Amino acid sequence: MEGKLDTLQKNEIAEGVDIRLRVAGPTIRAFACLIDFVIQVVVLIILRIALLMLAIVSPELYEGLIILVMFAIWWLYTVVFEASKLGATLGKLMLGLRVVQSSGAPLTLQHSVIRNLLRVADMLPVGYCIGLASCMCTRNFQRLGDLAADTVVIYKDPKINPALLKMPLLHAQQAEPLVPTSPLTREEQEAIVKYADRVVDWSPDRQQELAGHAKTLTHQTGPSGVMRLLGIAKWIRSHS
Amino acid sequence: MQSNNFQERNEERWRELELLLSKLENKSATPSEAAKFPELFRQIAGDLSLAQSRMYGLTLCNRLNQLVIRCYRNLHRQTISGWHRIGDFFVRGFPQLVREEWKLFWFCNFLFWVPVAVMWLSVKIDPRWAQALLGPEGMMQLEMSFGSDERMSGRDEFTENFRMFAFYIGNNVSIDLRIFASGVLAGVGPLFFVVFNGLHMGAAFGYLDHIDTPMRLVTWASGHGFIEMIGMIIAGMGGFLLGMSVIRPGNRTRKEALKRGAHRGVLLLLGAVVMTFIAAIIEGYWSPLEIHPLIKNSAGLAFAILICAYLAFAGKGRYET
Repeated sequence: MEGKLDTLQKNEIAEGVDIRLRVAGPTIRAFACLIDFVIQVVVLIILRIALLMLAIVSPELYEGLIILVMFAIWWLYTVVFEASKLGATLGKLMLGLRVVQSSGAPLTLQHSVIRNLLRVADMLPVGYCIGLASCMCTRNFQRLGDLAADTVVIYKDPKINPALLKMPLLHAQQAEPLVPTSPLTREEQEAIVKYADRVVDWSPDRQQELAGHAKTLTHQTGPSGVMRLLGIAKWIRSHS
Repeated sequence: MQSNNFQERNEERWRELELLLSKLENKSATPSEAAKFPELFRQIAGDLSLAQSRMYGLTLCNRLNQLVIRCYRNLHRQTISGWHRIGDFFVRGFPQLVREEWKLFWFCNFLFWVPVAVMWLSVKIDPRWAQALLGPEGMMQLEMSFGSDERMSGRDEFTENFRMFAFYIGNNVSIDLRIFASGVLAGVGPLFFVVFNGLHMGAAFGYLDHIDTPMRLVTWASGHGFIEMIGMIIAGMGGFLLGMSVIRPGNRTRKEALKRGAHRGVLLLLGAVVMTFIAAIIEGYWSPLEIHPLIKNSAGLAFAILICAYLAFAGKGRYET
């Protein structure tokens, strides 16, 4: 396969079929991380207040407990949540993300420990610089911890525009089937069919801009280029 | 066959699967229902394949794709397979792993003990080295705790012991975890931490040796010192396994090597963390006890020999993994 058209990651599973995981980029993961941080801080503050009575009775016991709690919150929070059935920290859960092995299988404890301990390395020198650089250099936005544990962060349920569900082929139905002038690879066919599927999702300008990339195939630009591309999509669909 | 036909024909089966999946997910499926799951999974995997190759459209493919992923997750869900596996790891797996990486083990020991010896000697000869490493405050504290026979009291309270125990956990286990994690940066992290800790310890002993005698520190640390040091060294090994896989991946790709190094390294780290944990318990409760130094030292020595024997012999022979 040459260049990738999207952030879908194909994986063949033992049943012989490709599943497609939609990997999540650094921005949304940064937001998830921020939410987690706020949760960690809030929990710590609540615990400190709850244990305040203890602090008066025995300051040493209080101090010791706080150290243990901080240790647990800092090191174990992410490990435990990601290894659990949820497969994501609370922040990730809220944003609809999930951590999985790059095969798509759920994490084991070992994976979770590796990817979350190496967070320390990814955070260097400040604010996840190394992690970000690593995300940029890998196909599936993997930071060092992900690379070592062989995991990816994906969207749990990729959102589909409701408009797509209601009138999937309305637009495309207007187009007349059109025989493509040159042979198309499987990848190209798929791309054109996907274009037809998602075309209602975009503004007319965007529709034309994207159809413009297939100018060598449609020989036209503008609205008629869009219609011709939809026609080709229709032809492919009826002949596959 | 058109997309709509395909959908109509199989819709019932898909709904059945969806129902079964939600039952499996909240653990309310009966065994006979669960037994149908693999077959339904294979069927829907086939459906997805067909839908993909016939380009039945984004909506349908997405739906089937999500269903297959859900099935896959449920089929491959790991259950914690009980305590015996963890027990087995500490009885056999961990010492075996340390022995398998014996070169790295001695390398890390070298990185630690040589700086200890060198710094001890340097400080004994020229105490200004201690000043550079420990700082005036560190020197004062050492002197107060171990410099004379008048020991600080007040450590024998239970609550104070607990506070110190918590402190050692928070501090020392975090150091282990950091040593391991920073190993991924080509091994620079463990190299620095292990050597630095060696220098620091050497300086402390050397300084006490210079002003009086290091024996009081030796006695105090005899119980927890050895296991704590070995724990740190093994965490260093874990870090180097990560680092080496980046520097020298051998005949694997770097990514593959890193994966393998991480999975072996994290097991070493697990053992190291448990060792450090044990050290923290001893340091919190046993080390501050006022017992005759001879008893304390012999107990420490016996414990150290026990650890060596564990690493050298546990899980040898007979057993095959």
